[in-house]
Amino acid sequence: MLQLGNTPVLADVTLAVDMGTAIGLTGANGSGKSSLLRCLATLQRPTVGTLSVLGFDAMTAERRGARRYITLIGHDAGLYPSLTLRENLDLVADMLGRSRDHTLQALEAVGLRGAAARPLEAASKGMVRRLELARVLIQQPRLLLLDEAHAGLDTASSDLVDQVVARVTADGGAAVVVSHEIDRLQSAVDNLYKLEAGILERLV
Amino acid sequence: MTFWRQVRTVIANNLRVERRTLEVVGVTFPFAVATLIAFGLAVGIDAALLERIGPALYWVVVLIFSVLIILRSSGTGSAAQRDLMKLLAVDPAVTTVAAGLSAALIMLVFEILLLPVTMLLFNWTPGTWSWVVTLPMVALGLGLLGSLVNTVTTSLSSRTSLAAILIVPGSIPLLVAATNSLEATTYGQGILPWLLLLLAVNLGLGIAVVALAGPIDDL
Amino acid sequence: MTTDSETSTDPQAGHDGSGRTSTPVRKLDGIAVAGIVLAIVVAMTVPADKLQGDVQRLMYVHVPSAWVAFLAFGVTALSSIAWLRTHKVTWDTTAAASAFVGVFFTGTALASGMIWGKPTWGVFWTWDARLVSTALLFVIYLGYLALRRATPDPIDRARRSAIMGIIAALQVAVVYKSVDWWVTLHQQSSRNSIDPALRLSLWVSVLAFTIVYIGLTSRRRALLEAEESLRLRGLRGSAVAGDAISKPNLEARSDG
Repeated sequence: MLQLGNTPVLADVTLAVDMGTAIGLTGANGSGKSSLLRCLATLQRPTVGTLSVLGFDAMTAERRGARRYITLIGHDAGLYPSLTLRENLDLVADMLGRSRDHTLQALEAVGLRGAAARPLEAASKGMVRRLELARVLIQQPRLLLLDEAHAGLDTASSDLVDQVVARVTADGGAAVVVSHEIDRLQSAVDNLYKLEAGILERLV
Repeated sequence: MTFWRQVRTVIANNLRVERRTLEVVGVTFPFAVATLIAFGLAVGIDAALLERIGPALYWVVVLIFSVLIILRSSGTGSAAQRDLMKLLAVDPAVTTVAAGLSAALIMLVFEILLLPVTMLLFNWTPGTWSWVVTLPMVALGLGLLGSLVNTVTTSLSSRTSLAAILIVPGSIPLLVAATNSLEATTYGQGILPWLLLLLAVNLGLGIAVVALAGPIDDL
Repeated sequence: MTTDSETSTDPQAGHDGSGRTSTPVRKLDGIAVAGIVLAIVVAMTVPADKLQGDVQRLMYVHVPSAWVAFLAFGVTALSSIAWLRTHKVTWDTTAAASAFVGVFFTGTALASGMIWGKPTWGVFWTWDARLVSTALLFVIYLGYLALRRATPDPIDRARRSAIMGIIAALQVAVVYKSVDWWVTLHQQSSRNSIDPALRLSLWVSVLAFTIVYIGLTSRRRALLEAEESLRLRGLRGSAVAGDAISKPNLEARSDG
């Protein structure tokens, strides 16, 4: 259970995600999807319950150990608006201790090589989402959490989202993908769940 | 030494952001100049009085404008930015220390820019070496305190007004030490106690920034 | 699995949960009233200072208020540390209650100091070290309480204010020292030695004020904890956030 302020957000959620698989999550606005993702990302602690992420007990300080292996793509990228796409990715690589050589490769992979010198604030929503997918390629997470994965994206970008999810699971990682496009979601994930009023139920 | 390497990386990025947006140098600094002119006009054309209060006004402006510099929109501190750093497994102390040092460096630039303006407007010459020490020490203290307050008020809706009330009263010792070290050198008294006070404040804040980084991480 | 608020679901200390205050708190009220009565009697019967006259009796309000303010903010700082270590809700409510009562006594110290200052110095406000520091103390803790008010989520609030409670205590220590230095540089300190009879009555009022502080803080804490238990009770079985969104109905009329 998770409550924020005086309002319970998640009431009854039992979920296990196997490594190497992706699960889809759908549900109405305000049903608690983003909160669930934040819990899985160890950024929020459930008020009551147990939570284990990648073998780390996420209810305790142990959760910090899991963070290196988690990528959360949420509503706000948390990057620097006045820096270029490339500089933002370089920062990510630097903080992870990865070589900056990966940056250009990753930009190439998501089709942003030509926009590398563009400031983030001048990039469109689709470009920002692609940049975040490039971040996934650099970080190579064991757990990928995607919020509103397909919202506002064209077909090519949505396909790219699904491909990156497939790449993570193929490497043995797990993914949780939130989307309202159920048909697309169904083809991209192994199991599909619906979150309704804080209660999780399995659809497929 | 991953710690300091990461701190350096974040600081370099924060400074690059300021260089590109010029939020402090191009916006906050002119505002401070306007404020100094307003002070002068409010006091009236009493050259001797203006000359005497010049340094005091300088430090008051630095103290109050530190709130604007700490809360600058191009600075670090958004909840999403913090989350990103957490998920890059960055030590929470790196984030708070880097935020404090970046703010301190930008504050120092602001102080250095404002100094000649104050000298010009109030016809006043520092004529002492103590500035070389007080400017960076005050900047560091304000930056570290600002980093703490910034994190404690992250993502609260009344953040801007809250940060001001949490920063200004607590930074009075910095102001007292800065103004008095200047006065002490003018009257040939010892400056050491004031420098020690500055040092003690900075040390205390430095320890607090590192020690409280863990709890801050949970915000 | 023990979590933040699971350890916090028993906010019964000092409160029997039925809406009535428990006996220890009521006993404390009695002792506090008795202490204050005694302090008033002593303060009014002890001979006043020859130079200042009766106005000097304000000392029996001013000094104990200032002492209690310090005590209160010390308790806030220690409770903040304790909360960060244990995450027990009782430490958070103690910190909050103590700061609240402390701000009240800081105000009392400030007001009595200024009233005392008028006949003594001829002005309400003078740049006396005690007065300046107390004013800053007042503002620092108003900031602390403002931070508490501005944070809606209880656990988030506890964490932020615990951090601020510690920083504020550090600030107070440095502010006092620096203002002290500042004043000694600018004027002579106004501390005199006190007559033994005055000192004894001062101790009586300090003791009485301390008991009042403990009484007020425990009552305030009991109130905060009752609020918390009420909140948790309300949570059980209540609607989740998403329920606030209902099916759109463009045809709906409010005057229908």
